[in-house]
Amino acid sequence: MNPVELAVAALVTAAVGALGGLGGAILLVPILVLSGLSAREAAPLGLISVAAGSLAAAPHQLRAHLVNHRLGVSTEIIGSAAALIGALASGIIGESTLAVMLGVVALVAAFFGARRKGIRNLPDPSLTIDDLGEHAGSLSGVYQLDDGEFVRYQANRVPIGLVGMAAAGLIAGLSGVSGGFIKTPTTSEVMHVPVKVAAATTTFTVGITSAVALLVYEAQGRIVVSDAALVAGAALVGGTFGVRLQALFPPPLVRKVLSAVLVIIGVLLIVRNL
Amino acid sequence: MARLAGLMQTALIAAFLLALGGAFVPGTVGHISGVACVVLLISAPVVRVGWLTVEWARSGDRKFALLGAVLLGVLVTSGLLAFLR
Repeated sequence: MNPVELAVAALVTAAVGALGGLGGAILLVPILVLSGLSAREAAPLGLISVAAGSLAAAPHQLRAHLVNHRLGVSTEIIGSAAALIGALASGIIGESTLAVMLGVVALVAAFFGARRKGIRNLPDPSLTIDDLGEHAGSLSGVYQLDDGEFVRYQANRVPIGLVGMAAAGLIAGLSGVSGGFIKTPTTSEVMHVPVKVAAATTTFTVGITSAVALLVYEAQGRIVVSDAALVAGAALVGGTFGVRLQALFPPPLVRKVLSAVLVIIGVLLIVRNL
Repeated sequence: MARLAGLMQTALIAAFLLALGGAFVPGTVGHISGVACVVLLISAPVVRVGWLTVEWARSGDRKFALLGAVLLGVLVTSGLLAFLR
């Protein structure tokens, strides 16, 4: 893949990934592997795309009080530790095993992406703009719906949620995809956090997970700086563009189309490397 | 949060400019720009967690300040393990 193709792939996957709320790396890494790059080389570029997407979303999400940082920090301790183990293990796992693993991850992402629904909490008329945001000392908060109403939420079943975060971290470290396709449904459907807050909190935590794994990849000499810079620049633009396009294309529809594409990619990766 | 959002906005612009330098400027300057971009992408979430930890400690939210410190410990340990292996 030449630099122009790499930049276009990073830009388009970051835009489409942000549009569907799955993150761009879940598309970028399998596409890079199918185009001839080894899974070992593609993983760091995927995580660069994840880190860039997380940074691109941060200013807006912080101003909108969408992220529950206390929940993110609490769950990311185990997520980061798992990412470290995954990244260290990826250095010793065989190339075709990594590619097959990536194919399986793409199929799992397709499954979660297609069936994701999210929990709808009811608005509370007694809440005002002063209540907006996360609450000190607990894993709870208030967020604002598009129609201006406010909704209270509280994270439940945290120990079960931590299992999902560990799995997501391990996958991120091993394969270079963000693991957000596991984190957001876990936060939303297992821990009963509204999907908007869950997605924003995941965008925050995948940045931390990718930082851990990128440190390991850098120590293993797996980051090609010129390619990483190209992917970072394209992903920053694509991620910002994708978030703005969310108003035009409904994310559930985009996720269904993405899921179909991921099934094809996953099957191709598995068949080619078995 | 507004100050942290401003800091992240600055980091975002800096990362983009450094990425452009790393991708399109030839030679040592381009390489240094690319490395700086990667370092910025790795350090931005760490700075964010550090900022939150200090904020929570200052406001008396000790439980979450402690969890933030533990996460920072995991991040530092990861870096040490990665480079000392």
